[in-house]
Amino acid sequence: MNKHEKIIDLLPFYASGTLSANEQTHVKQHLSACEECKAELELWQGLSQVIHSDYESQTAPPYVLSQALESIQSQPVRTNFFVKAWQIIRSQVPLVKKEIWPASLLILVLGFVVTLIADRLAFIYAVAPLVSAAGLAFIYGQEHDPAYELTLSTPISQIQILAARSALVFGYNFVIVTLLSGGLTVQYPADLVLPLMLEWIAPMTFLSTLGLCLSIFSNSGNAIFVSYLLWLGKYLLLTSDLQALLGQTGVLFLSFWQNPAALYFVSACLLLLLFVFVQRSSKLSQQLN
Amino acid sequence: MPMLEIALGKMTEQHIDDAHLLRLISKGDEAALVTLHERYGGQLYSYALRILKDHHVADDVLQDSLLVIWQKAGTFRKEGSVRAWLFSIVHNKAMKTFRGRASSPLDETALETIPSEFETEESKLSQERSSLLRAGLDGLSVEHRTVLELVFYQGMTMKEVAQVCNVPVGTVKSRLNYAKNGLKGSLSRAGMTMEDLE
Repeated sequence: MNKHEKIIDLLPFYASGTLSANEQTHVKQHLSACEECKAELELWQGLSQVIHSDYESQTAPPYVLSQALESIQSQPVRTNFFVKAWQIIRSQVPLVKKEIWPASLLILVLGFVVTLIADRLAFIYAVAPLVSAAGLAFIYGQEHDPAYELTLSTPISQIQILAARSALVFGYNFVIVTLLSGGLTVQYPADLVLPLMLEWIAPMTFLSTLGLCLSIFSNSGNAIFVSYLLWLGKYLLLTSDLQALLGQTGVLFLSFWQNPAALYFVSACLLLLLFVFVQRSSKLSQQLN
Repeated sequence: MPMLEIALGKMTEQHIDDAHLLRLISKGDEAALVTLHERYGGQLYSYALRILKDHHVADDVLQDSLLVIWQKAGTFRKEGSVRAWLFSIVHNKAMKTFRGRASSPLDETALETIPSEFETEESKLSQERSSLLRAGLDGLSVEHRTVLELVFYQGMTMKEVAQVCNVPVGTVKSRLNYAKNGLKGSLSRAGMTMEDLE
């Protein structure tokens, strides 16, 4: 694009006075030597006059604003995402089975004590995923929820309820284990505790998700049985001759447990599957009602 | 307490810039929406009216646009101007309504309700020349007319026009070029040239 073409593009804005001082100078200089651009500018200036003479600024009728404000006031109050999430989580506290809280705490504290007495640091990190998986296997569904009918009729979506309860129970266990890990650093060096703790988060996430999924697709008993079997299988493979028997399958199984990325990925897939399932079931039950 | 800020005069209207008003709106401050409407309501309403040529429909478009502003104020990014952002909302609503109504016959009585300063401005251009340009303008599509109006009446830059119409800057240039050729055609059909405008 040569200078003349560039100036032609700027002429309407020169006529309307919206060019920068620098652009205006360039256009002015060009206009003094270009008859074609002068003629074009006159067209734009003439058009600008016509538009200004024809168009009169209108005042919006006052009822437009008042009706808009009425509509706004009739809308539900906007709440911040975190505030809303916190409100949903809080609302679910009384609806989660009350036994979960002391039972999880007791088992984890026992695990902590055994860890210290037996001097086996890894022990608590072997117990914690099982506690979390069991907790999540008992948080949702008709058979566990005395207020299931109530939750179905609330305006909160079933996915939000499920997510809130999962976060609540998982977070509870996570906080306890983290605090206990802090306690372990009194006896063990922190650089020994920290790697173990980081290793523990991925399997705990996976087993919790699996427990939750199976409890909804099947039932809580099966959820706990399968989760525990898989977790124990890992230790059996590590400590017995079972690995030689299973061959390549055993190697794959162990490498899955030792790969946090794979554990998180499978957990995410399971959660997605679960949310789709709950969403569909929720719609179906609403239709039936 | 953004509403209080305005009410107590801690921040006078002049001190609250447009972007800050949008931030207050995003936090649920109705007083900020009223202030924004006081600043731009007339311009936005006039713009919708020019596209739709019907007061009642323009009322609805502005009302819907105010609701969108209320809901989306938090999504405004500082890269563009607030004014262009507001116009883009009204533009989208008005164009959608215009296209929906394109098949239905135009309300001629509604057109008559749009006031004009035709007579007072006639001294500046001869009636024949301005009529030709006006006819050329009316012969353009709504997309081309709106670009001309945003440039000449609303005094927007090329970038702002592109933002309002949600098109690339190149499209703004090509629409202006197309409009110019259309107007030249109207003049030449009447045996006039651009020099006759002088």
